[in-house]
Amino acid sequence: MGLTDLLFSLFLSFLKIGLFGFGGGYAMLPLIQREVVDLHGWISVSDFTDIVAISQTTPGPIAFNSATYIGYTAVTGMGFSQGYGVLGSAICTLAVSLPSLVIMTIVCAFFFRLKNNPWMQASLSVLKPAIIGLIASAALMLMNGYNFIDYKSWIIFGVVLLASLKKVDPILLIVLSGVAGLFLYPA
Amino acid sequence: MSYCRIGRLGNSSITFYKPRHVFDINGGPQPSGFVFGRTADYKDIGTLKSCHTEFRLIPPVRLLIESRLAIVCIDFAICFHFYYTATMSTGRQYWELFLVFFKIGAFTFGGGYAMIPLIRKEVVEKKLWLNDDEFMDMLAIAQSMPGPIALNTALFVGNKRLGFKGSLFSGAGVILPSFTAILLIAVVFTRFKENMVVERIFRGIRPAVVALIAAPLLGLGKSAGINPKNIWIPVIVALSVWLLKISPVYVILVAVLMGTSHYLFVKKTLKK
Repeated sequence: MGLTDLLFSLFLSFLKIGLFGFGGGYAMLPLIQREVVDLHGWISVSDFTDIVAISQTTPGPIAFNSATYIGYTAVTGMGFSQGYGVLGSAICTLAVSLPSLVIMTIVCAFFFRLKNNPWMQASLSVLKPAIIGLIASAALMLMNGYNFIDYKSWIIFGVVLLASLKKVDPILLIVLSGVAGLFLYPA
Repeated sequence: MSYCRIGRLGNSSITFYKPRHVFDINGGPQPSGFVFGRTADYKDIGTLKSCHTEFRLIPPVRLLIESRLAIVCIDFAICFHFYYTATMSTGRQYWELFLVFFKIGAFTFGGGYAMIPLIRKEVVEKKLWLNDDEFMDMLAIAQSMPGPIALNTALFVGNKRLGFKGSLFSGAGVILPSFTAILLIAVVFTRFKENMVVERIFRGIRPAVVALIAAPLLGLGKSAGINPKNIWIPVIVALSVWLLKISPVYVILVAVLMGTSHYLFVKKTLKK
């Protein structure tokens, strides 16, 4: 695959992600995973989980973070230079934010008519529960053999789940589980 | 009319004149005892024949003491603020929009919902670009449109303040911090990924990430209005995306179709 083909399909994929990424954040994960891991195979499943982890510990929305990261790794992974990698990540970030720009410009023009529009309320009444289902599927899809290698993984999962329900800071939890991984999995 | 207000600004006022109420009660005029912010006693109002108010300029020193120095200072500060923003060149306003959202983009970790309190603080409390009601309306719209919530919010505020060009500046502001941070990490991380220590750390982190995604589901479900009647929607969505590998694009399209057709059906039955 040539460089322009690769950049073009990256652009299209992230345009799709931006256009159908309702609910933001975690609700976009199944969509990103499907496009990037299942359909095109630009990165592996464990790489994808690593991106989510990196997103949690760096500023900014997950959609941008994954677009920037995947843009870079997909291009350099195909054997192109780092400069093209930067270009790839710029294209992906632009593509994921382009639908928002168009839609929000329209929304701002018709804001007051949209606010109480019954059609919009009607579609949201089903869309909102569906988004919860999408987030749940993001968690279920990541519960696989790559991320859960043995019983120790499940212990970490349980502890972090409980701590997170008790409102412990997610960044702290990621740092602590990284330290736990260092001790639980000797070289 | 206890005292004269000149130059109303914000919620406070600057008092330049001291009024002197002159009541004509039961014979000759009697000056009322002036109490700041309160008129004279009206218990003899029944016998009041005439009333007029005289104004006399207060000496500047007494003005400062009587009209509460602090309020005067605040008034001048507000006055200066409006003057400054009104005369500020448009270029500076675009730059300001960019900087505010750059700050928001740079200091929120975890994205999305974590950004909302920070955006509110900057846009509603500090900059007064939107009021609380407008902010809540905007949030509802930003959440119901596709794309990252933080970006949608930034684009909305930018567009509302300075039009389409303003939304370009605010959008660039919110994107740039994460773009540069992740690009640096991507360059570094792809080199160190084969390192065994890094791999061991990430073996611990990966299940934790899954837990962090699963944990907010309960709270989010409550705010999305999930009840025993519509609990089947998220269950079916989760199963079809997870097990049947149905693309989320179709799930979204079907959800929109179902919502609108249900509304159409309800509207028809209501008409009958």
